[in-house]
Amino acid sequence: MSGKNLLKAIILGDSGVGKTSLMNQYVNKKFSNQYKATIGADFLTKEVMVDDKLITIQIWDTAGQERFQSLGVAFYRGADCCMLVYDVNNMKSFETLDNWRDEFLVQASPKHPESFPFIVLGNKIDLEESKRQISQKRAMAWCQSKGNIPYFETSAKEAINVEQAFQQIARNALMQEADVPEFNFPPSVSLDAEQKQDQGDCNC
Amino acid sequence: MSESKVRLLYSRTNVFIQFNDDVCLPGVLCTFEESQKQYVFSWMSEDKISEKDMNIYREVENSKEVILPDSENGYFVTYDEELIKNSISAPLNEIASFGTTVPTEWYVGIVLQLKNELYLPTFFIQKKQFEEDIDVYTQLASWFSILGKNVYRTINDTGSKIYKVCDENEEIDESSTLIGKNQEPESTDLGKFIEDAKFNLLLKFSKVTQKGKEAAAHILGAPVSKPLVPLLPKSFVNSILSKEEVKNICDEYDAARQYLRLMSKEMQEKALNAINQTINLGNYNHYQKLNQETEWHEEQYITEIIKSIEHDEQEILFNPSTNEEDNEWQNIEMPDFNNTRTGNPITAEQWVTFYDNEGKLTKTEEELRDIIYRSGLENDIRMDAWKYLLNIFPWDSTEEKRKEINLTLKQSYDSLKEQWKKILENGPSSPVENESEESPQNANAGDERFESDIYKRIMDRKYRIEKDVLRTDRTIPMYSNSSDNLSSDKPVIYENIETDTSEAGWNSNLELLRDILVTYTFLENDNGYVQGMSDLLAPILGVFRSESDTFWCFNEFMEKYKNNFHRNQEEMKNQLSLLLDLIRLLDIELYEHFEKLNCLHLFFCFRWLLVIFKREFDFYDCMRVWETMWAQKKSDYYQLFIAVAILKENKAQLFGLESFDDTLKYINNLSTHIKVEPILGEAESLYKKFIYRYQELKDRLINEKINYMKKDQENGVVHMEVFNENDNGEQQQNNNSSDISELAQNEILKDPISIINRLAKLSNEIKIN
Ligand SMILES: Nc1nc2c(ncn2[C@@H]2O[C@H](COP(=O)(O)OP(=O)(O)OP(=O)(O)O)[C@@H](O)[C@H]2O)c(=O)[nH]1
Ligand SMILES: [Mg+2]
Repeated sequence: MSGKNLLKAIILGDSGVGKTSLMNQYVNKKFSNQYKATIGADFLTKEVMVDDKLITIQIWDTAGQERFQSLGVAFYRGADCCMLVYDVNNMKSFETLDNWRDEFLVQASPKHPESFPFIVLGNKIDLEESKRQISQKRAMAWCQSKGNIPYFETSAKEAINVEQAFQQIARNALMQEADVPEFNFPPSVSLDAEQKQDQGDCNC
Repeated sequence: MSESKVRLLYSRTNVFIQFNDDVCLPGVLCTFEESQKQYVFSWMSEDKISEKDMNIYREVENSKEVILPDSENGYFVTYDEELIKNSISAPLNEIASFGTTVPTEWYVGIVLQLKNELYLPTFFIQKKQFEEDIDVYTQLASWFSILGKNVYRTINDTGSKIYKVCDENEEIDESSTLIGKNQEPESTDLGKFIEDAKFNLLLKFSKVTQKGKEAAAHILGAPVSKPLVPLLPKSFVNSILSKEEVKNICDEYDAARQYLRLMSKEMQEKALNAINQTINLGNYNHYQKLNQETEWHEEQYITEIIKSIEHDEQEILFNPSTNEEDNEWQNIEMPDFNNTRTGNPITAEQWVTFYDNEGKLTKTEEELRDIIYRSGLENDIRMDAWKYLLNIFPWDSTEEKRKEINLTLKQSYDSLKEQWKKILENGPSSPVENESEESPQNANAGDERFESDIYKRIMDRKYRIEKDVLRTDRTIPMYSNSSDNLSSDKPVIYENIETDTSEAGWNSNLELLRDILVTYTFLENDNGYVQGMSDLLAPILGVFRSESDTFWCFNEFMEKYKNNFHRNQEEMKNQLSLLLDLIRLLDIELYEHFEKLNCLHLFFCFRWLLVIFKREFDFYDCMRVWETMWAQKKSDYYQLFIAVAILKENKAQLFGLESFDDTLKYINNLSTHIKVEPILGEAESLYKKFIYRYQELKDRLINEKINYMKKDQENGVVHMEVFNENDNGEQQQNNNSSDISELAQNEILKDPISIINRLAKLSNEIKIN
């Protein structure tokens, strides 16, 4: 299978953690305090080389405030990978990662939820150490417990680890894609299949 | 991996599912016994089925006898991991109800709803060459009776037939009809009878067309066929018969005109789209017409009517007739749709001339509203005029009165602000006055956990507000980094940080935005702070600069739009669905374009409506848009006319885009590039056009309904639903045609989800009696 060359990535996380800033840093190589809070949804695209292959990555950015999520979920469909972002200086934004991940899996219903390519970004590490509320250790433990999700500590402001994180998620998404059939069913189906997968999960 | 086999009980090949807009996948629909007495209903993708198994599926499909679950031998097929992944299955037990789409010549769609209320995607079953009818319901019903369940036919609220699966002793309402128990196809229903006959006729054609037109004409002309001619696709009939012949046959029997419409391809697509919508998006309810059968469905007429209105308008506009014969058009007067914008905003010099010596406005409220609506205001008089528009000043107040009002408002603002500041000063554990009166855990509370401790609640809101204020209109000098209005206060985010907060550009105007918003959420405790509010506040502070004036004007502004921010988002959904109706009425091509792209949810207009075009226009143009909306009293949804105006302005470009993604991108990029005056002018024209077209749509739809009822009556069909639905339930039979018109009118006007009633909300000038 040759695989496709358009990857759809979704960025999720609480309002203000820096989703829009990360996306813009990655695509436009710029940080600005003039970015506005996201209302509705938007996306940017970028062409990148991943292991000698030219792909277009389409990055979807939605509003972080919870009540707007009912509209955001329409965009989860067809996602190839998902970036979960929290602010290392804000405990609550870390605690909600679970919700974001669960909600994503429910709404996007990927075929292989257990191996779906996620990545976690702890953002705003440029701020003073004294403000920090979640240690790297704690974040990595969470990632490990969710099936070894890759973890990056980033700063959209100082462009730390941004490129690396996106490169990684693109690579993982491509790898995943290589052994998945070419279509996804819409959600709300394969009731039977899902039940089976759930049972499978209990073994581990 | 162990190969598991299951016993096949029923099978049907060439069943398609549709996904990703236009990709159709062929597959097999089947029922099998997964394990002892566990029956599964499943659709499997054909390309995952081995050739060997495919033959078994075909054999079962073609076998004349019904395979009973408890029979000894049977047909076994593979059912492994790979197949499971590529199938859509539900245990028969989980199926709650099912229905079908309107059948076409080629296929019928079947829709199943599960007990958890989810729908399976529609399965489109292809008709076989000489098949009379695809009788899925009887098949399914007989399966359920084997499971010891009953199937009842009921009519749901949209008037569609739904087959409900019930346990043997389950209570059902009396209107339901038990079917399928004896594996007898339902035959009592006239609509079904006609459907059957129609398919029989089509079936004959499928054999006949090869033999030539004479034969076809012969069949069509035969007495038994005549009543059915109008039911057939027009293009098909036209290709066989001459106009004269068709006319003769149809004149006699055009009774069933409606069915012709039902059969038209366009309707089919509409039905399919409607179904896809329900699966993809769930929420946009009034398009959930599942199985349309032969009952009245206004949905089937709307598109055609709007197209005919549009067509007639063109005729009147572009064919100013000179000769006598055309005077059909001459007598029709079309209202003037031109806008009345002056293009010259009211200046300060003009504004002062509106006042008398006492400082009282000399013009009436109506006159002033009209001038502001048509001209807008220059920026320096907004701080006065907006207070009238936002109900702070009575239109006939004297200068003295207004001073008094200003003073009171200032005092009450200061005291509100004082209260929350004090709570913060006192810190977390302080006993707080009034706290017992706070509403407890409230469903409408801010998204973040609703802190029962008022100190924590305010802190939490303050934090979220600061985070947004820091991202609000930072390109406007008064809010920008370079603003020299330095603030003494640090936002929470920077509290423990040594770095200079001016690096983040915190300044005294941002501080004002924050204080006003915290005070607002203190007053309007239920909704809390919601993103987008800071966007609405920034221009108002830009106009007034004064804290308490800004606060009260913002508060009045929010009175009109606070439902946009409500947790359940119902108002946003309501507006998007009204916008859809409006686009349809005002620009059917655009509607059909969005329909084609599967974009009827209009998500790309969400931001427009949530913050009332704040992000779409430039900072000052946005003020013009808002004052225009506030000045008019025509519609509580004037923003929707502005939205249609923007879409129409960009129609050519939108038509060049082929997906939702591209459309969203294009519309997001319009931000701050929209020219305000042409849009407001167009919005006014569109409003006028709306009033005209609304009346036309209403009249023509009622006419359709009258025809529909009359035709049925001439054919001896007593329109039971019409008569039964009279409030007192008594059966009246009345052939008098004036009564029919009245009935038809009532039927349409009393239906709350009729497009007539939906659209009526868009104007205060429309009264539904
Ligand atoms: N110091 C610092 N600030 C950042 C960083 N990334 C983002 N910010 C700031 O954090 C705030 C929020 O950033 P956004 O990118 O708008 O956050 P978001 O996640 O898109 O938020 P929503 O659109 O509301 O969901 C802004 O004021 C940014 O300037 C970072 O890496 N370091
Ligand atoms: Mg954002």
